[in-house]
Amino acid sequence: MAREVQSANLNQTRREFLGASGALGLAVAGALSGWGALEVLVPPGTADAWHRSVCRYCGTGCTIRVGLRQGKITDVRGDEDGHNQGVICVKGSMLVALPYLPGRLTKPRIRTNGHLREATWDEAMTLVAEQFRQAIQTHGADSVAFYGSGQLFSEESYTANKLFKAGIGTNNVDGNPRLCMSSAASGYTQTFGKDEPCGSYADMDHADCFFLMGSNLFECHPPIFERLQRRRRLHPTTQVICVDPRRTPTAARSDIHLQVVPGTDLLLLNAMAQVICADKLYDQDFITEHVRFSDGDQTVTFEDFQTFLADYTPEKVATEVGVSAADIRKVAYLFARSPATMSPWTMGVNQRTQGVFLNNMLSGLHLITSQICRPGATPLSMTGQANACGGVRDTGALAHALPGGRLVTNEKDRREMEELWQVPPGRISSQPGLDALNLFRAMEDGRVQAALVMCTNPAQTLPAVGRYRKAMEKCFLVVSDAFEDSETERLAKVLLPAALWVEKEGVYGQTERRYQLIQKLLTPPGEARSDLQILVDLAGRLGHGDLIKARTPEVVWDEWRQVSAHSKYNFAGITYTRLRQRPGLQWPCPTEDSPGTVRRYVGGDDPLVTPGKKVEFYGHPDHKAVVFLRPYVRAPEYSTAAFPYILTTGRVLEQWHSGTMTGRIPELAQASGPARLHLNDQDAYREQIRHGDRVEVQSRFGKITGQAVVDPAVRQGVLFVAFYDAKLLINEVVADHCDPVSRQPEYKVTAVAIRKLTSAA
Amino acid sequence: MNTLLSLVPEAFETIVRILGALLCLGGIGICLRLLFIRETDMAEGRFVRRAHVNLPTVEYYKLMAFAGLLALPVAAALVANYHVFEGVHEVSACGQCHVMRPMMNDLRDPNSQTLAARHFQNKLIPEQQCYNCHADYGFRGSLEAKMDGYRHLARYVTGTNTEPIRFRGIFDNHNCLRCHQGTAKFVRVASHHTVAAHLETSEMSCLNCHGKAHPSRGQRTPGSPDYERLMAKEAG
Amino acid sequence: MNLRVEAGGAILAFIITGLFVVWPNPYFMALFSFFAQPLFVIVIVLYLHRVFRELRAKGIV
Repeated sequence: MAREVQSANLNQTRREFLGASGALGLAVAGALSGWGALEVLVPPGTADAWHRSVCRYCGTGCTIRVGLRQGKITDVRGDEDGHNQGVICVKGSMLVALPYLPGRLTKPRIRTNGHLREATWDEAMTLVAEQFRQAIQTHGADSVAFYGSGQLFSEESYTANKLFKAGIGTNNVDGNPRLCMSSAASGYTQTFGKDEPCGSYADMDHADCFFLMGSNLFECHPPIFERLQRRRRLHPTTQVICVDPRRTPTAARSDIHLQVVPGTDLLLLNAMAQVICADKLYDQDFITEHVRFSDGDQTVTFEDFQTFLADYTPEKVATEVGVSAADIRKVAYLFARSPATMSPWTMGVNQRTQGVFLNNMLSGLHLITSQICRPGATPLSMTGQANACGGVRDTGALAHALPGGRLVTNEKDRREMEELWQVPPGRISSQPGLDALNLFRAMEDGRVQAALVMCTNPAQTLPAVGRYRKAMEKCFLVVSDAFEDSETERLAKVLLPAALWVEKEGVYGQTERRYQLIQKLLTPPGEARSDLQILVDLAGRLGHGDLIKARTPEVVWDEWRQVSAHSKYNFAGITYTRLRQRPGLQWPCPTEDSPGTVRRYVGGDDPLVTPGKKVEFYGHPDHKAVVFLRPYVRAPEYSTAAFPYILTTGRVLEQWHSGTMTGRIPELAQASGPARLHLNDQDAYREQIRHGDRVEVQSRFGKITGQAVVDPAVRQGVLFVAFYDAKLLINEVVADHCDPVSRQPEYKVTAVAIRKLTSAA
Repeated sequence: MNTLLSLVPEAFETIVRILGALLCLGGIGICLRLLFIRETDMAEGRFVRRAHVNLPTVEYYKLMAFAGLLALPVAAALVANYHVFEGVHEVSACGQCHVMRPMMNDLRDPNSQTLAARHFQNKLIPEQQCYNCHADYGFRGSLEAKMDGYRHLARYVTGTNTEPIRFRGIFDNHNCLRCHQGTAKFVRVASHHTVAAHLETSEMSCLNCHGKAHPSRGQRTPGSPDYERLMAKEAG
Repeated sequence: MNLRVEAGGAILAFIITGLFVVWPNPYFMALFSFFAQPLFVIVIVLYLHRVFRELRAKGIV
């Protein structure tokens, strides 16, 4: 009995033990499976894999992260570790839609009997090569041309430049940066001896005074404006001065807005210089050590400079500029005496007949006040396009240039490039090629018979475009583009379907000398190919397969990288491998362990500076920067009785350039709406024009009709139109005067008349 | 309820802790008693006398079992879940995990321009700053957010989290829109209207135009120049 | 009335819960959420199973 009770007790204990272990075990199993379920059930977000890349659009060159799921782009975010610190704009956000938009060119097309019919690549390229060969044989190498773009990859512009200049033997290589940054390039080259800015975006975090000129950062470089705002929030005494004929969103948020008369602002800069000299606001030691003065022909003295400026006192210029003398003095004082002054500028300064002079003088102000080569103190030209700097300026893909700041007219430069490119001496022509406007004029009179146009839309973006559209019709125009139906494509004889953005691989170089890699993430649609592939194909067919041996992006890049080591644009240390690991590198970057250069010409930062020197402008042989005496000349377009208003053109936030991409994205097109003519309210009253009326705008070059908008933000006497809308092709009206040195057209100043056609419904 | 809570948060916290402790101690006590029930106690005719009430022993122990194995566990768990769902509203609660310390330090850094820091500097969110933008975690939030919260917990305590931590899933834009949508500044921006559908589903992030909310992943990576500063423990 | 398994489980769960309530930190929170809570559930289920078994035996259910 006792044993039975005992065994019953033992059974019970065993049962309890099993029960207890079971319960605990179940609890643990519950915990683990609960965790497992959570891992599976929590949704994974907008994408499965993220890749670093660069935005397709403006010269800010935002570093972005592109999210993919099952081979499709599902999200685009700013890269928080990039220079833009995670900020992009709405155009960048809508990049998710870009590769999938309707209207992609998928097959080559050949114009037959006036219509574009589909063709095979072989058919199209055979025809192209044949036409080019015939033109070259019959009329010489200069009867063909290449018109490229600040939106092509550097590898593509480099290859085109090499093919045409060292293969075909013509310097007729130019591109749309001629319309955008050419004055800045010439300005820098004259002032510093080399192109490209000395400062960086990082300087925005240290500036006490921002002198914005001809720049609507808020709309045209939004993440940069955000960075400026960040500086102001952290440092509320920061002063922002904005020089612009319009009260743009940027001007509206500035502390001082100088609403100048278009075309007169060299007077402003010279007046500021006059105040700086007269009131002894300059830095004599810096001038003595680092500055040389020149009147453009020969070296002059600082005293000559001051004598020259006597005609530009604030009181003398105030009326013509349209601002008060007191404001000019105030701004001059702030510029000179702020602990650090930074000048971002864009097209208001560059797209001018005096664009180079303006660039010279703006840099000059920084030089005489030593507001340069220090954190927060620098001139900084804001680039318009994503790859005008890296792709076109640095590779020398311009009619007068060769890679790395060389010139075709300089024999030593030609020999150097012939050697680096392994072509016989004399292959590169000493004759400068045709810059953009001259190139399209040469199509008019048949001097240029055949041209390859890549990644740009000159039939919408050239000034006085009516004339050049007729010229393009006469030429055998070969156009490579991603989307069909651009204005330029209507005039093409052959259309080649191009890969877009992340459908190909290559490098973009933005405003601050930063090179970044765009990796290939998608397959191009249909039979579209990268522009590099098209150029390599053409090279082979024209018999230059031996010259264009580098046929894939990284191989081309490595070649160009090594070539750069023989110049002051040395980026030999920027390899694809390094670019894959980090959000870009700023050149000079001569070796693979060089961290890149934030501030050029500064010892300890710029590796090309002689050791021991704090600041060295090594671009010129005497290692000094040049301040020029630049006389003001009134713009060729000015208000007259017949044409009383001044038209200026520009961009809006939601649309990129000629709208061939952003115009197709509904979210962006709806936000910007169609392009309209902005007229000051006083002028509208005088002309009896009401909001929404249909009006006609006419200049000596053409006329256009469109819808009027009464906009008090525009200066009285000024008209503003953005150029993104092919249905309001404002460039029909814009004059095609250009800067005599940079050959950049003056989009910002055209004399026009306006009249009402019909009232708004 | 929340207004009451915000009035006396610290006092309430203490009450919760005391109550919870008492419930658990009581539960432990009762269950210990239950452990040592003897068969002989269960015999007929045995009574327990408590507070002038005579209960048969069996009934008494049944009441104890109800209390100790049902009522008190439920009560204790409910009280403990206060910490899980309400206690996490406090910034200090988030800051307990070291991988969150950069967010906490950055929030309070007067020189930072992250969205978190700017909201803090503007004094528009006087307290529970994390919770204001990460409201999903709390009682009113989505199921997905709660699941993610538990997932974070599991990863952190087992050391299987990455460092720096990365946000998984989609951040609900309504955490931003709740305050900002419909304001004059918001309405003035044309793009807010045209991309409204993308903002509603949160497939487009507000941060795209407005900048990073917290120190970037690069900054929070061990070895980065900012890592030491971001990881600093607050004094006291 | 042998409730030793249930009582033992509940004691363990109460200890964890008590610690968490007094010192809320991630580790205790995890122990509570992933272990103590399921354990409470198991204890309650076992207890209720006993109750229903007894009620059925008595013919009430």
